[in-house]
Amino acid sequence: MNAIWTVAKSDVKRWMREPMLILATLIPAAGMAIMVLALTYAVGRQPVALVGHPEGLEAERMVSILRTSDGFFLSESTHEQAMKDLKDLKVAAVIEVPDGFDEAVARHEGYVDTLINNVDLDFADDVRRSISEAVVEIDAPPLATLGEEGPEAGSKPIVANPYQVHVAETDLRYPDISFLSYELVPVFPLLALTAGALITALALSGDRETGVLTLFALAPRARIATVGGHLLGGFLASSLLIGTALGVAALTGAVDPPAGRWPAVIALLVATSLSAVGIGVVIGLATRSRPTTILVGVNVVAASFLLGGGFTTIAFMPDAIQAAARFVPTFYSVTGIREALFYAEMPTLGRNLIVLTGAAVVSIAVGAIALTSVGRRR
Amino acid sequence: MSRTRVARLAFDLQLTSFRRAPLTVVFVVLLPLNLLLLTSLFALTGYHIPTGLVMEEDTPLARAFADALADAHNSYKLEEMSFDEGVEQLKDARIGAVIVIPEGFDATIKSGRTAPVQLLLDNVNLDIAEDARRAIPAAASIFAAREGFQDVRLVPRLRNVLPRDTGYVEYLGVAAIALSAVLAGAILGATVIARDHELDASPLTRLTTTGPGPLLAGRLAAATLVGLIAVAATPAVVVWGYGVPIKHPFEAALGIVATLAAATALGGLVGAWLKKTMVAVPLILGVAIAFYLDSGAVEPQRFDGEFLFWLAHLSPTYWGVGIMEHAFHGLTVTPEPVALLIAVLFAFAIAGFALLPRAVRSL
Repeated sequence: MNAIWTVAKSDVKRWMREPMLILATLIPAAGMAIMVLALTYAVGRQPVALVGHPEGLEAERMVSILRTSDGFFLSESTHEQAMKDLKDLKVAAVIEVPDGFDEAVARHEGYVDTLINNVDLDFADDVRRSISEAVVEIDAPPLATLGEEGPEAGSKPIVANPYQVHVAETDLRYPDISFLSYELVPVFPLLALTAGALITALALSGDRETGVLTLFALAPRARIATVGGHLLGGFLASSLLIGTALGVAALTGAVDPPAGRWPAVIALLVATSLSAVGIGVVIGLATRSRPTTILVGVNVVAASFLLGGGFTTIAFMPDAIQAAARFVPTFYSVTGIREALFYAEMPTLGRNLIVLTGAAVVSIAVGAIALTSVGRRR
Repeated sequence: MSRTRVARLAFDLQLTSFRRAPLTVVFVVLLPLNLLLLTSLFALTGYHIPTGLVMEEDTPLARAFADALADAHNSYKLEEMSFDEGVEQLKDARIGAVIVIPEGFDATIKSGRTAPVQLLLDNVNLDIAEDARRAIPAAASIFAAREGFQDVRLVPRLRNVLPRDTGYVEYLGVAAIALSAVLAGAILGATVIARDHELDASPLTRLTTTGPGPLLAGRLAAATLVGLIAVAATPAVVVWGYGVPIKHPFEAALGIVATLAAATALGGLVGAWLKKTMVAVPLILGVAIAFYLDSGAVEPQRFDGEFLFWLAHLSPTYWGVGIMEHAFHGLTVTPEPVALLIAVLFAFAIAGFALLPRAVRSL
């Protein structure tokens, strides 16, 4: 036990003595968090220019709806300026409420003209949906204000409208989960992955380069101490980072689980750290030099993060990708933490914890066997 | 020995060094491919929310409304199912919404009344939830127009600047080529320079009679060449895998070389600054992925606001994405013209190479 603790302490000390290494461990997760924060401001909203403001009650209403739409960042300008802004990519679309709008609406021939820069489907469709929503709001406000009615929206009485369709919305929760809260979740598994896997892998490959690993491999007890010590060291370092990040997120309200869910969140992160250091043990033993270790490490971390649901909802993916994601421990971590934070029930908690812990156990076993073979080769 | 000869020798030696570490090269090749394939996953959830469609009657108007939902600007990926199945899948987070078209829908509308439709929504991801909500009025508008409802007083008239939309996967895939070039170049550049320090070889660099310039130029040129081999796989996947044709092949090739050269030079500076491969590589990966999201890879960067737009200019990815989108799709996603984008990348490369000897001297 003493030997394990000595190796672990040495790893943590080595890591803490190198501020640049701490920075390198933190940067991928910090970069992601900052970008999520930045994207929160812009998600679902597109910059558009509004031109034309004819007189009349309906025109006034239309302009007012467009001004308050949460689908746009609206600027009002002249036609010439708007077209220049469209060309300079300052706006994604130019919306025009044409002259004689009220008269046209009275004749049932009204329209709102929208010229969209359709360079990519995603935001062009955002604009199309938001314009349709604004136009429909004139004659069917309840149809165009879904999600703004509160938790009782689903039981509101039917309101007749010219589209002859009334939609009653029922949400799984109230209020909506903010984009920031949802997208911040994968940052913690990413932190666990980079810290756990890279610190452990680099410590082991460092031992190999200096010959310490060969010496340790010759004695059965030292083999266990080496694997166990590096595992503990990586786990302690990654726990320190995650604990700090989670503490900050909890204090600022960015992570706010329902009552009684903290133990599940912590257990999932602990299991994620364990599986990450397990992966680090395998990478560290499989590679022969530190540059290779780091390259293998970043490939594994990037793949685990992205395939585990870092940017996406894996359940919405094609079947083949969903099947592939099930081989990645991060998938269980991201799914489990999102479930604990945002859903009424946690049906997959047990499975997620078992898989994450199992991945750690298997990695450690593989690491121990690999270390034995290092000794035999010598 | 002439400066050219020193540079050529350094180039050859660096290539030999890469040949001796094949695993390093293999993983530098794998990283861009890895990221290309995985960032494309992002596109798959960008639209078409998996949605359970519960048809309690199969009548012409019910079917017409279902068609309108399907045509509501790529919002839903509809799959017919029973109500119970829909609710179960929604609770298990396997789908994002359930839309119920009730029994009596057809008759209600034919009698001139308004028919109720039920929307059950998993509002865990605001971006997706808002798309699902906004698609309802869009579908209602399409439905009313197709059925010729006379009481509708106004419609959205949607016109496009370009003759056709570019699919999200195609757009993102092309942008990922720029990311690949940045990652491969920066990692190789940083590894070449930092490894010198790790092996205590940097003092030798300073001893050459020609100064460190030609030596570094030769070695980084070799890194750029290996980077080029690493990146070559990504346009191949985009062209043959995703079926995206190249509109301007020469521009694409020049853009890849310019992005690689800029990234290699900047990576070299990072390697000289950090002196350790194990620190430089994760740092480059972290910064590159963050800047990938802020580069116009998802949509023209200026649409995300002026701050992020100007911040993006710091990274070669922004300039590279602008060139790639134009070279492959003919799209303009930056206010700067393509010639300027290429020129800036070469300027990045020249400035990086010029600063490198000084940075190495301080090692």
